[in-house]
Amino acid sequence: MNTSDNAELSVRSYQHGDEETLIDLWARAYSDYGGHVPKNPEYWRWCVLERPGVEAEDVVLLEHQDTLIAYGVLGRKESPVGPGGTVLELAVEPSLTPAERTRSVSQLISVLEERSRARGDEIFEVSVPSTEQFMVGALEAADFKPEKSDSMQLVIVDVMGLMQKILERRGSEIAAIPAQSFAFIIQQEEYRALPLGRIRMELSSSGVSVEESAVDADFEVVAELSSLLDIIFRRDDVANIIRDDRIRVQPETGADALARLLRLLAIRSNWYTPSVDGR
Amino acid sequence: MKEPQQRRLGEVPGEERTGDPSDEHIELRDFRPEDERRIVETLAAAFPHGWHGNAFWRWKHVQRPGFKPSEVTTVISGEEMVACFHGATLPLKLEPGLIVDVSFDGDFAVMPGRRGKNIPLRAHDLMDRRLLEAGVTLRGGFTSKILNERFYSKFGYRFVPTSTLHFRKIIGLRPLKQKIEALGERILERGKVRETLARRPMVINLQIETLPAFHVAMTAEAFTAKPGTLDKAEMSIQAPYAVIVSLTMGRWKFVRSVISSLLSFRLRARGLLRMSGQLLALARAFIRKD
Repeated sequence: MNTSDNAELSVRSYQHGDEETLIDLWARAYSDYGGHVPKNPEYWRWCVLERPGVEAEDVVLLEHQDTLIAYGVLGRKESPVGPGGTVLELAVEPSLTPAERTRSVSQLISVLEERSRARGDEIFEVSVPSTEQFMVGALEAADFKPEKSDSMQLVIVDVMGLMQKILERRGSEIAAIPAQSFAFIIQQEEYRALPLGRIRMELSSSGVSVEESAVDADFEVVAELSSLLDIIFRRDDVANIIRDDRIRVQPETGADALARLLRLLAIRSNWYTPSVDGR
Repeated sequence: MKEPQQRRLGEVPGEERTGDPSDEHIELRDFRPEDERRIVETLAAAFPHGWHGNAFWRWKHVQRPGFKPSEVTTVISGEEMVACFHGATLPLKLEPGLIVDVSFDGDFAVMPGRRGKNIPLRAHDLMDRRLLEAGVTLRGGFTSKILNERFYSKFGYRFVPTSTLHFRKIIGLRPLKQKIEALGERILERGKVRETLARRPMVINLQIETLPAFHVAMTAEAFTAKPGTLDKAEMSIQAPYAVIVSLTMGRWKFVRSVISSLLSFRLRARGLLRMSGQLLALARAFIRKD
């Protein structure tokens, strides 16, 4: 798509039936990111249109010759300094050039900010991925200031299930590790009500089987749950964790294969959580 | 690697216990439609800034597509609701093609008189077991560093690295008013500044681009910011919003912003020469030790 012709970008608010197009644009704009709730029309209507304080006019679409190129949603947020406006969702057509995307963000933010001012808000907030330079640049140019905010914290409920789901995604990369089995004995230093069993992983050329089992394995691994979480969510590097004895393997000849296996567990996307998911 | 500490179920590390949980005859149960009013009352009583009201609660919880009564746990003691805990099981994309169910927890409320009896822990444990049975992989939510360190980290909760960057802009006078008044308190800690302002208080009119005009009265007692300008003001300053932003971004950014605003004629001060003596006296009083 190219918007560098002389046709004006037009601004309009949400109309019944737009949700499918908006959801599709958001999913394409952030296809490489994790950390958000995928939406369907029913869920989007609930979390955006039916949200108290949001009206159809707060969903602003930017179009080029009747084709959607960007949209943003203005929500409300109470703060200690009074009412605030917060951009719940902001997405721009990824096939545009960086300059076109910056221009789209600037235009959308300006419309949403004006709307927020008009209703008497004291502050106006936007969350964007730091890796999308066109968004960051547009906001800095409009005198927005980066601020600290609440972040997402997680704990693993189903350790085996999570490891299984991630490793199933790794397919052929598992086959590159020599066929062998690992028994993970997982511990948690902090309080935990749920039991942490013995998880056995059998690697083979056809993939990996992950199950709770007392059957012997080639290697026994003792791991802190927090260290596994650090690896999965890329809070720390596998090499550091093994070096610091936070995950140990016996016999030690299995250390290289274990490191390769653990690296496969790391999530491979940057995370971006739009304000709409923060509720 | 440290050996895991053995703890009894119901015992939170670091939490001072004022009563044995077994002494508290409470019932943990799922949400029932007739609970709504009492839940909102519990939330309103437990949160320092109150709660948003029934309509907001209804939207956030029971009207959410896929809502299940088991996602809201109420804690009943006799006839009284003493606590409530909320979760929402939703799909979370971890990376392209990898989506797992996550329980987003929040709106945990315990009535002030019922705290210190491990009620949150009992609810947390119950929800943990239910989530595992329901095939939920992760649980968590959004919180501050302080709350994570004080409470959640004891359960193994960790922040997930994110590229989410949060930007903010002041568009009303109230946040500026608070900042100016707080700044005044800090400046007036210096006795010499107070003495200088007692001899000659000042009023400055300020017109920040994109914000309504206001004036700041600087006296020996306080700095106060009010909407509108005053004819009797000793000085008037016109400035772009960027100068205000740069104030908190380090000395060099501020200096750069001031110079660029002066060069573009967007930063102007009227009465500066007339007030230069007073401003110098204030600067000297601020620098000088009491």
